[in-house]
Amino acid sequence: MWLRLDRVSKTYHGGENPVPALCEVSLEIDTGMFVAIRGPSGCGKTTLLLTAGTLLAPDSGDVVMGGERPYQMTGDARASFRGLQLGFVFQQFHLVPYLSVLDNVLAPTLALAQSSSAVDPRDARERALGLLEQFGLADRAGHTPSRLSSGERQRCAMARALLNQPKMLLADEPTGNLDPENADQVLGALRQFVTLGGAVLLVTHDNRAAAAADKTWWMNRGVLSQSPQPETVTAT
Amino acid sequence: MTLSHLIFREIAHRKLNFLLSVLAVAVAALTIVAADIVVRRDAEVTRRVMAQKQSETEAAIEEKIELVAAAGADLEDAIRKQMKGLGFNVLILPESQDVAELHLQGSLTQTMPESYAQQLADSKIMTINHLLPTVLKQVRWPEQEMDVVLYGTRGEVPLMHRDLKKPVLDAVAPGQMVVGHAIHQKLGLKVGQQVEFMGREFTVSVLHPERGSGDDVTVWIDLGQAQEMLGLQNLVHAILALECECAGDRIAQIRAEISGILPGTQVIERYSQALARAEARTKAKEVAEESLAAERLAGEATLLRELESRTRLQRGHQQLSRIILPLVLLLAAAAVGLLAYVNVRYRREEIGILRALGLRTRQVLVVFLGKAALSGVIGGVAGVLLGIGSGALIGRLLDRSEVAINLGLTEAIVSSPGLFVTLMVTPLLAVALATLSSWIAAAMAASQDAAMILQGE
Repeated sequence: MWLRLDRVSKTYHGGENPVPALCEVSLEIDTGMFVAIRGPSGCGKTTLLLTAGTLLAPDSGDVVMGGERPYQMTGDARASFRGLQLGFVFQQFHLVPYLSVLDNVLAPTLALAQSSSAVDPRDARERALGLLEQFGLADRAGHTPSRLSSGERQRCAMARALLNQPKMLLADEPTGNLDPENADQVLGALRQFVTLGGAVLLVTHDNRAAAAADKTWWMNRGVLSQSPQPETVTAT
Repeated sequence: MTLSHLIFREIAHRKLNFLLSVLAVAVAALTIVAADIVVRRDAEVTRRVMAQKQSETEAAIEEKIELVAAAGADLEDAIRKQMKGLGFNVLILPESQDVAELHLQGSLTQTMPESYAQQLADSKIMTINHLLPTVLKQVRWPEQEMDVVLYGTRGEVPLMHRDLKKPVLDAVAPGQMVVGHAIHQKLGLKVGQQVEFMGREFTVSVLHPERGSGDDVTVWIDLGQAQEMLGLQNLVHAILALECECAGDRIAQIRAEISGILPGTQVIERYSQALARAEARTKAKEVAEESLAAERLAGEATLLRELESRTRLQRGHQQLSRIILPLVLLLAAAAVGLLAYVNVRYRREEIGILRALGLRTRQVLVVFLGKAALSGVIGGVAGVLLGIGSGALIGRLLDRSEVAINLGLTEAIVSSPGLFVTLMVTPLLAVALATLSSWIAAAMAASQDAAMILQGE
């Protein structure tokens, strides 16, 4: 398995009472797998995605990715690992507002500096232009995100996520702000990535998005299960 | 895609933030340069003002020397003319004294009672002003193995029927010795030196300059001591009568008058008027030199006052810059730091996604510190350029002296290598100021938790 989460727990301590976000979650995803996590808002989906994305260290449990334990690495090593092995797609797109579409897609090459990479920075531009062509954004390459539609922004984010040829894409409600047509385009791109040997972890509460996955897990109050449970909000 | 590209694009996107940061740094650099220029201009202006004043003072003294020289020549001429009208000196000798001995050997052998001087003084003689009883004899100075003329004098005897006048010749105190030029030159004597003369100790009190007469081989001592050494107690060889108030053709009248009072004496003319004229000239020269010395002192005092005035001005400007400079640097640093903090707050989402994309902590630091350094470079260079102009302008406004107004900027820079260093170093200081002031904000950006930011959606 490329990704293995073994009894991972995470509790937030910010408020008056501790809020358990992940309760001994175990999950395995291999390359070529498209896994969806469904659940109500605040059930811990995003926490699971960030933990799998090496951005949020769990309180306990083991996280293994491609045979590596990212949370045992230094911060910089983990950042490099993340830049090379993972791609992110968010509901809010998180494009850099002052960079052009092309530059946004090229942004992940910043992580390639001083490290070996699947994408040679010198070839990154050509690859970025190819991705823009693939996502129908070739004529938008010089535009800033503010001039794009929501669908175009998410396609731009998709192109950015794929630039470094990651092993796994982590998508957090990627269709949440899209019309059905654009949502289909994004889900199609995710599916194509899996077909080419990548792994996708999608968190969503959208039935249609989940339907695109090979396997769906359900989450409620930080507990992961293979079947839906009564929805109760327990965490952000 | 590079970090510098990211930095430049962000600057282009948030121009106001960057321009304000550049402005704050530029103000700091401007203040450093302007303050340094003002202070160094002060120093250069002071140097030039002092040089100018020094030159003016020296020119004034030169002019004074010429005036004094001209006045001295006039004075000498006037003295020469006046001396023609003055009386002359006579020597009263025992009648038995061969005058040829005096002229040939410079000494006398015949004596007369010392009381003659008092007798003459007590008389109502009108043609004589000063009376000096003396012994005058050529003797061997056994300790130095040389022949000298020993002159014993006690100073003048007051004329009882006259008002007391300033003595024309000073008495020699007992135990002291006045030495003629040829003798002290030969023996290498100094004033205050102890010498043994004919078995007695004397202190050299005066060394005469060269007179070109028998005085050059003469030593003067107290009359009483001379009488004892020569075995002539209460006896004198001659009485010198000075400044006789009569024309040269009336010497006969003096002789008649003195013979009437002191029978058995003879009167001869003694000492050329040239000596008196030479002494008068010397005195005139001394007065002129004193006048010049006073002029120099006055010039130096003027220079000192000018220097004190300039120093006060410089200190005032230095103190002002010591207050303003740290204040401006502090405010600039605070402004740059605040702007950097605001920038970080604006870019939280961007930081989160960049971290998610794999940017390392150091890279995030570079993004923010690189921008700060760039504002430092631009602000520093702009501040230096503006500071050069401002410093020159402020320097002229603060110092309205002609020299300060006319001092060119290039001259001020060339004349002060330290200022050149300031101009070179200030942009580096500006970069350091901007970078250090932004450090906290950059560190905050680098330490931001990407997960927290991305969850915030």
